[in-house]
Amino acid sequence: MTILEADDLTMVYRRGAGEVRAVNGISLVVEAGEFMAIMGRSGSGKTTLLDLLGCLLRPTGGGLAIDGQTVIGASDGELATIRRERIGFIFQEFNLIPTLTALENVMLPLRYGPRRPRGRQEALDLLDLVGLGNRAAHRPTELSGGEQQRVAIARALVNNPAVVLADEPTGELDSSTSATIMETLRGLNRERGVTIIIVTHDAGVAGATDRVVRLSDGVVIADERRGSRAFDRALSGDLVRPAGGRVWARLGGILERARAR
Amino acid sequence: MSEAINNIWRRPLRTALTILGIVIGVFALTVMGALAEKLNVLVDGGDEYFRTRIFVFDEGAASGFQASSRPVTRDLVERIENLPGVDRATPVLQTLLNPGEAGGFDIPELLTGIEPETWYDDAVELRVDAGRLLDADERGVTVIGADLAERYDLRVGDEFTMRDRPFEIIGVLERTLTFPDKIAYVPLADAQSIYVESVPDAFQERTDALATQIEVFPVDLDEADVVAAAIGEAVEGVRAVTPAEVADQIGQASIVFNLIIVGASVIAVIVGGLSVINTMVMTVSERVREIGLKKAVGAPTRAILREFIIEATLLGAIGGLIGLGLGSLLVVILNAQTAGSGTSVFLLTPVLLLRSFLFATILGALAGVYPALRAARLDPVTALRST
Repeated sequence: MTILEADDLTMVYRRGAGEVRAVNGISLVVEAGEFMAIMGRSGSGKTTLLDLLGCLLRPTGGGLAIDGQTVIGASDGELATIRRERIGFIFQEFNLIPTLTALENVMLPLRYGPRRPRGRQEALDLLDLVGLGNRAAHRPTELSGGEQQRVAIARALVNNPAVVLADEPTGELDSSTSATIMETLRGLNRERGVTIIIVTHDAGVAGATDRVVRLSDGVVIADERRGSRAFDRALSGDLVRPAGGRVWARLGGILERARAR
Repeated sequence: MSEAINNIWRRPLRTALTILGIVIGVFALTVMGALAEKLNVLVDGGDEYFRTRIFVFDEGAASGFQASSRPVTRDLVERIENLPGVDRATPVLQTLLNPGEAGGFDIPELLTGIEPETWYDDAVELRVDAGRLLDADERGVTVIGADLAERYDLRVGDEFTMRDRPFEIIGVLERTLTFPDKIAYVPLADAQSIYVESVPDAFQERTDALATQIEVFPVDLDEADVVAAAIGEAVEGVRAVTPAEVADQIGQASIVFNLIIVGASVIAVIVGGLSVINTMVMTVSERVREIGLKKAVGAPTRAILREFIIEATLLGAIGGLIGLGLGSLLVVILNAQTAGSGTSVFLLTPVLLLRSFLFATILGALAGVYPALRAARLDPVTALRST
């Protein structure tokens, strides 16, 4: 089943007289149960792509469907509902609310939806699942970085989303904590079939996934699955095609600008 | 709600200062309001008490409607009574009970000499709480108002020395909340003999003719203006004051005080409102990422709006309650201190308390609207990625 389908997705920012094509015509299909990484250097457009896939931004062009439902043309309120019901977010800086306990943070998304009588129990179960069942009443300041990120993972899952989007989820953590977080994510994917997309520039993180999409200058320059040598090349960024891809992308940009004038 | 309470204590000092701004405003509003409530009761009562008759003073008498300094003479009564539209006229001699104690905010205590057979009023009936009213041709007796009874701890049958003369108390009036509460009614002849001691010798030979004013009851109260004008024309050397003019004089004070209340409210709005707006704007900018996060997990615009408005409303309500409490405390203390003199300067009413509280709460809510709108309109991506 297709969870996410991007078709020629484009995001153009106007900067003064010129424009920046942060995402320049990306087409991508993600099936249910995939565990994938979007890689790229800073400025490659990976964060913008994540914002688009997460319905935090409206694309300037192209199509996007999540869970079979198109999100193009949705109002702010409709986008909020799509985010609440179908997307779970995990951020680099955890983004927990300091005045709320771990359990309350996990339950935060429930606050904005219809009443769920078992919501509290489900949130507790999720905390158990990420190994923090005994930390439910702690506030974020009383938790380690790894524990905070686990709370954030539980929060991302509380509405049973179609896809979890993680933005550099280990960026603030040391390597051993990073490894456990990645294990947790992998476990969720393997055992519960959660579809997870991780945006990262860290080959170690991306290497733990099953599929790597590499971006450069707003276009996909590699999309490889685990088990091939191309997958390893995509991880390392040592690609035969990238130069060409970049050239074509630049050329496309120049042509666009010329046409715009 | 509990989150809102937690949130406002994230910055305890700032929250306390913000609340203090509202406290000061509501405190002023409560104290001033209690003053105005009391004054309005006095004014309304005075209005009612004086509304039924025309006062005729000597032309040269000091302005005002009480304790006139220059006397008129009794022969005016017959002349006025013969004028058309006049039901009856009666001489009244009114002077200060304690000449040394004049002035101040409240109604002064008065010694009022009347002729009981002609000085009565169908519209404003004075009722005795104990004892009886004055009868014709009595001497050395008095009927006193409720405040006087309280201040001097007097009962029917007690002897009460006024202006160095002993009077027997034959009646204590029911409380009226206005002038009669502070008046000792005595027979006109007694008032006259007290009065002559304070006026030039020339009048002493005609003591029994003295009065400070003639009070004229018109046949038709609606025609009071016409009757007063007729008196002024027919009788030389007098000034006839209509009930409306008397009410105006009393009303002046009430207008000033009501303006003070409005002023206090405006200051409260400016101080309290601005401090809430300022605090909430700072709060929003501190929590931009949290707002972004909430939007990312699906909070609709109105949910964010509501969170911040509840927080601002809470600031207003807490400030309102504290201000109300402190203001009421001051009022109660001040009233207790002046209680010994049979006077209270302030009047706390449930309506006033409710109004002050609602005022602060609504002020907080309104002041929260702008910051809340700023929060709710934040773009989720910008908010999430802000540092």
